[in-house]
Amino acid sequence: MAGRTDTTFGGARLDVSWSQIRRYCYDGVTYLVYGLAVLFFLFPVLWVISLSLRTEGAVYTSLELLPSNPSLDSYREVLDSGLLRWMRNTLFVAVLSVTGILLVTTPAAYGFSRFRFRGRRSLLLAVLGFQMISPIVIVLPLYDIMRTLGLTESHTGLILLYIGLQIPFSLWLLKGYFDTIPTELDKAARIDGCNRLQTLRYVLLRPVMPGIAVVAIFNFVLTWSEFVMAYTMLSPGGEDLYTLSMGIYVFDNQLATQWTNIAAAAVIGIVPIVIFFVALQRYFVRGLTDGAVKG
Amino acid sequence: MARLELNDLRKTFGRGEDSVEAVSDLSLSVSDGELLVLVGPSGCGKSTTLNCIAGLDSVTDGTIRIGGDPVNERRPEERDIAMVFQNYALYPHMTAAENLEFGLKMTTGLTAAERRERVESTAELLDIDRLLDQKPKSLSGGQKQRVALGRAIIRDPSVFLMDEPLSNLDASLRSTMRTEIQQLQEDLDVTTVYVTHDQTEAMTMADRIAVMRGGTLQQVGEPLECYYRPQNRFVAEFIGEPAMNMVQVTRRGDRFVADGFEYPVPKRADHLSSGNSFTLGIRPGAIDVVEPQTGAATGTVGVVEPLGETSHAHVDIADTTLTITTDGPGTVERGDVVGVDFPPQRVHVFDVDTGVAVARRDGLPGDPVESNLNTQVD
Repeated sequence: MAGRTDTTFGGARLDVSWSQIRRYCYDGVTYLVYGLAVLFFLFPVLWVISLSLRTEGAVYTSLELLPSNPSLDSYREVLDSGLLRWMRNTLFVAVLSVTGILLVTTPAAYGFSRFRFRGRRSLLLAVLGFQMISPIVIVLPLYDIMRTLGLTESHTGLILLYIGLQIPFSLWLLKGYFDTIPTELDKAARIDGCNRLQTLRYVLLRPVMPGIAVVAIFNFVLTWSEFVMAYTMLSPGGEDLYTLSMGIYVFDNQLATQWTNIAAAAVIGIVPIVIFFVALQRYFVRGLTDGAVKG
Repeated sequence: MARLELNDLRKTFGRGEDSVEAVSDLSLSVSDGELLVLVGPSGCGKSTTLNCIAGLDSVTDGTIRIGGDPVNERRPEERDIAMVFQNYALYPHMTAAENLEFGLKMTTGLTAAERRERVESTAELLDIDRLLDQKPKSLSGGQKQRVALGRAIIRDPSVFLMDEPLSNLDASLRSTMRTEIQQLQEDLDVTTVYVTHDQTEAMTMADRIAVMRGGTLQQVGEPLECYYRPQNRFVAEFIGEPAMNMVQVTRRGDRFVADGFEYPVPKRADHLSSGNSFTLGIRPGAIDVVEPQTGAATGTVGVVEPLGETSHAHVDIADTTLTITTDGPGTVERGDVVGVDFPPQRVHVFDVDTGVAVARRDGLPGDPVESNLNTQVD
């Protein structure tokens, strides 16, 4: 039969077609690429976990992923050194920043998506233009402004900064989600007696929830791990104000870099993000695919 | 229930040179309990008109009255209207019951028990009582449209507005729902404005049809009035399936002539000047197949589309193709040479430039005036 080959393998006769062989090869290569990609992303995490379980001396002497003498000393040390306080600070800053970002961007995105007003397009482009400026470029002028306002060395100042810096991206992202919701829902809500804010609150908020989840997760992760702004605004205020990323930096001091403590603090620091992600993952994935399909 | 009146309604989008006039000087009145169908091709302004009536779009000029009261300045929920949308517009996160109840919750002071009672009675009326706990995504298209209808009915409005409510349904369901909506509208006796681009829906459902094109009203009248006595070529071609045949002719003495075509001038077209050109309109169903060289024209049958009880045949006559509706299959075959003829009362005459009907028939089939006047031929 055309396209079919009889192969003898270990004494057994295999009856497979070329198309089947091609499919097996294709599947094999696909899984190999997937495996390499997973390894690429997972290896650094595994290596940090491995480091966190070693003694300080074993950091430079062993290349084994599984330490021969695992130790939890680093975890005890970082927990005793104020890590929990830094995590509390970070959680406070992250939650309030995300809340603030959502409070500003949700009605703004609704407005940009639904209303046609003079200057709408220019405003949207201006917002996008602001997003293109790297925060590092403006960190010093920002510090100056915040100091004048008396908002340095305080979490409030940092939260306001995060909200301001993250609004452009979040606004564009969320506007895209509002655009995918048919305007007939707004019309039906208005005929049912809703004003604009009630339409947003009772009718549109739930359908746009995947988009809100994406914005929330993205900004939570960002503010949780942000270093430059936090260091600039908070470092003169003492360790009590530190966020997690600054706290980890404490273990890299003038005397020595305590790699196992840095790794242990990093591992503990990842946990809340993983919990947050798993809790909202359903919305997050749906949000990403909706965005991809509906634009 | 209420009378709806539109007086010189105008709606413009944009400003200055970029502005687009979507509706121009539209005046219409819909009687108490009447079902008026706004029909026309996409972009003709019918949905904009509906949005203006609903209060979803502001009016540039003109007055809208419901029950005699001007409502231009009223918000949608204050106009005592309810609307059904093409894509149902059900709130996706609410159950069918919550969808029905939402409008009552937002606009009335009814208690939860009273609202529940209204929901249940409406659901029973529409036969959706088993679906009340389901969310829209688990409902079929027909079920969704019933819930959407329920959401409109439950508020007991003075005016129903329906924006192509059947367009998203498949053909068989559309036919069923068409009958149900008609029945429902008759039972509830609510003034209704129904927007569609489907002339079959318009013909079968309407008490009266308002045909729109490019934002202007072309004709308003009963469905058969628009079918048999179109005011212009656009209405003649838009209403009726297949579309009316159009033949460019010139009057020569007592005959309309064109290449391969010759027809005696009907009496009611007698006032038309000889030597001028006109467009003759003949509906496919009005054309009879006769022996070659004995009718108005002789041609060759091209494509034949069998539909069971009837067939549509395309007959090539010189540089014109006429569509004719014949009985059943086998009346004519591809390649047959046939004659075509038609009774004078079924001929429409339009001005070539303006498209205005210049010799309309005086009545509908069966009217005494019609049988007396229009069957005579010069």
